[in-house]
Amino acid sequence: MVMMSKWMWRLTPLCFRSHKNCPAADSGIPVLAMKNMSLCFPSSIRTLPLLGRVVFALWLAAVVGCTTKAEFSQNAVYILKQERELDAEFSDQQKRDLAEILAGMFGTPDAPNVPKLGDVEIAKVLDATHLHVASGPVSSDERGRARGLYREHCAHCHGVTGDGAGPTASFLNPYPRDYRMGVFKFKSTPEGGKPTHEDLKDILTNGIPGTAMPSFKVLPNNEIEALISYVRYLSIRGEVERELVYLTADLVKGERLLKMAGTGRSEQAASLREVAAGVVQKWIDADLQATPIAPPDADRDLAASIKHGRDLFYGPIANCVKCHGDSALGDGQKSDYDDWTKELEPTNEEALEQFLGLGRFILPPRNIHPRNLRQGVFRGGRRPIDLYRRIHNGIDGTPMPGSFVLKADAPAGTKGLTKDDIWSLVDYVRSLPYESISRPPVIEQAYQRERL
Amino acid sequence: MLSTRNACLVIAACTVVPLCGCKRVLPPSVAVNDATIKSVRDVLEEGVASGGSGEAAVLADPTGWATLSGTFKINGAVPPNPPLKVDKDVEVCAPGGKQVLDNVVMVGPGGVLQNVLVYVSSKIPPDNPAWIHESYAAARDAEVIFDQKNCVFLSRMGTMWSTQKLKVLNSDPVGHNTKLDSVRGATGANISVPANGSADYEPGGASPAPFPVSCSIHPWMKASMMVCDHPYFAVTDANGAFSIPNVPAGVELQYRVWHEKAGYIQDVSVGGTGEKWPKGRFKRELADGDDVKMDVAIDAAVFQKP
Repeated sequence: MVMMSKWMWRLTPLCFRSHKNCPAADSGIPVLAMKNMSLCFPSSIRTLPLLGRVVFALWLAAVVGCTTKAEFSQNAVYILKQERELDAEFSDQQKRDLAEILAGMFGTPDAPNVPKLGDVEIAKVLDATHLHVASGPVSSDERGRARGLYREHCAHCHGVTGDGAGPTASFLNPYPRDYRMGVFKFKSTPEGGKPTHEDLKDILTNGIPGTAMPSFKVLPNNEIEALISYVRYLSIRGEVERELVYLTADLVKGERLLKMAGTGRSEQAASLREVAAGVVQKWIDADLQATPIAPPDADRDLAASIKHGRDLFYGPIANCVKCHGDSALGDGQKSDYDDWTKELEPTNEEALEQFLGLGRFILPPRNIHPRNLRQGVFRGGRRPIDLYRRIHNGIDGTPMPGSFVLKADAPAGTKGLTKDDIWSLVDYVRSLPYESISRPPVIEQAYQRERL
Repeated sequence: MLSTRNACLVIAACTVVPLCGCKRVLPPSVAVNDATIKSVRDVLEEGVASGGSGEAAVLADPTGWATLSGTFKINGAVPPNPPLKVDKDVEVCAPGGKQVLDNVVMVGPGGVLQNVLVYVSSKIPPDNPAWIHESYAAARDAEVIFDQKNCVFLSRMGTMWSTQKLKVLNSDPVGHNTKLDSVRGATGANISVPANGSADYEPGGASPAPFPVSCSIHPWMKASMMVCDHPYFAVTDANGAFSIPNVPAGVELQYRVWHEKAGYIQDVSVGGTGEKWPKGRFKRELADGDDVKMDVAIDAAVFQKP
């Protein structure tokens, strides 16, 4: 025993190294060689008796275990939702069909695939090289180029599947985004549009203030680009999955989405390609859809603009006060939910119980609260242009509506907001954190400290 | 230095922890092997190069026009509509403090059922005059009104043709926002509608199924909307009656029947004969000049759905 522990102890500095770090027998011995990696041990392993080596191998196998391949999980919530809505019951065969069609189109977390969809220029939004770099387990090649970026930087919160249910998700408020619905909040395109490439880049480089989403500014540009591609990939895959779930639930009993043999399968394949192409096209279109914004009049009287914004805030046209509250503390409407949470039907007790019953990976529903505008923390960014976009286009997936913006040729008396009105609202919102009631008196803080 | 005993303990701990681990409940997944992926991919990519399209064989053009009309009736007692929790803008939404009931199931005298949606679900060739009767020419670009008063959507079941424009009216002195939750086909939107004002919505495409409409300011406000890429749809009125005039005749068309609370209506009796409509689907081929009337009876059990 003493002997064994002595040997074990000498073997502990074992580590995974790339080949260049473990080249020769004098510094280490590769005992386990993979594509680019080796498991190296000090050369002293040679002097270990045979029995010791066997025992050591068994011990190592037990500790390291058999690593399972990463898999995309199925959208159990959406399956149950469609089962409820369309009075369907998914058979194991149908669930397998779903997984196989998706894997046929999009591959696996280790080997993603850009589907061939005919005329749609999918390469504009999904770059196979980027996907390769972002996917797979975390590693680097002989030249030190990183791979597995998504699992290194994103998967712990957003999950391998992009379902927003990674291991840390339940500790966070707000929960990480589930990309699979294809809905993104902070972007420059109108309601219902996908984010542009620049929008995703902004989020990745700046993070989202007031949430757990950090900035990835330190990553080199090519790695950011790879991650943008991969987020689009997961979102497209997830949205296509939802379409397929819906189509499956809508099938007449006994039919299948894709017959593997027989007549009619090429028509089926073509219509599945069309479904995917429809989702991809929205991403391609987005890059041309950013709402054009004319800058505000630089010579405007700021105080008057803020006052006008305040009148709009409390008035019945912009109607901000209804949700953001009388004091703009975000307390006007606290009983609503975002669209991701609404899938669990949180107001229907019986339904909610069914959804939560799917497993502990379902995050318990939380109400969505309107932003407290007095803190000066704005998730979509605090620049005037960011606030303008939020007010003009609304925030997708949330109760925040877009404005009814008056066109230049609108007949007199039509109710709505002009572009100048929206800039005044921006001025007012930007002034709120600096109003005296937004800042508790210093004396009170000192008193509280003393009491604590 | 570490004693032997401690070293053993460390090794034992290193062994036990990974073996037991912390159990995480993971969402279900289905393992797919490489061979399956390859064969499915081959089937999916069949005909990509030749530009094969998903259009099924083109239907023969219709030989005329017919009318499909009828009534929907409920057999049995329908559960009462629940009261709504009106806790905002009470003076407008519940004037005089009156109790407001949900209007999801509207049954008239004799059990006639309002707000049942009937629409053609067969693919109608777009922009083909042989398929769209000339009586619909004026409606193609018309404006459809979708109003709300006293914090209730006046059309619980809204319908429109995807080429039409929806004018969302607000006949209340308080602001509303109208959230059109279309997730496929038609564009989703969430527009602020000024008090006593209006806002516009253009769907830009048809939705394959009805989708919910709500107001985030007054969360009890609910309705449904269906956007078709043809004009062949109808909603039953207060007498439970619907009529789709000038549908293409001489071709077999598939229709679907839906109600917000009951979902797709599956078990019906038409003129006293039981019929099974899988997920609300039924097929009819009408002859030119036909005026077919369907008297449909549904069992009240369809509303038992939680």
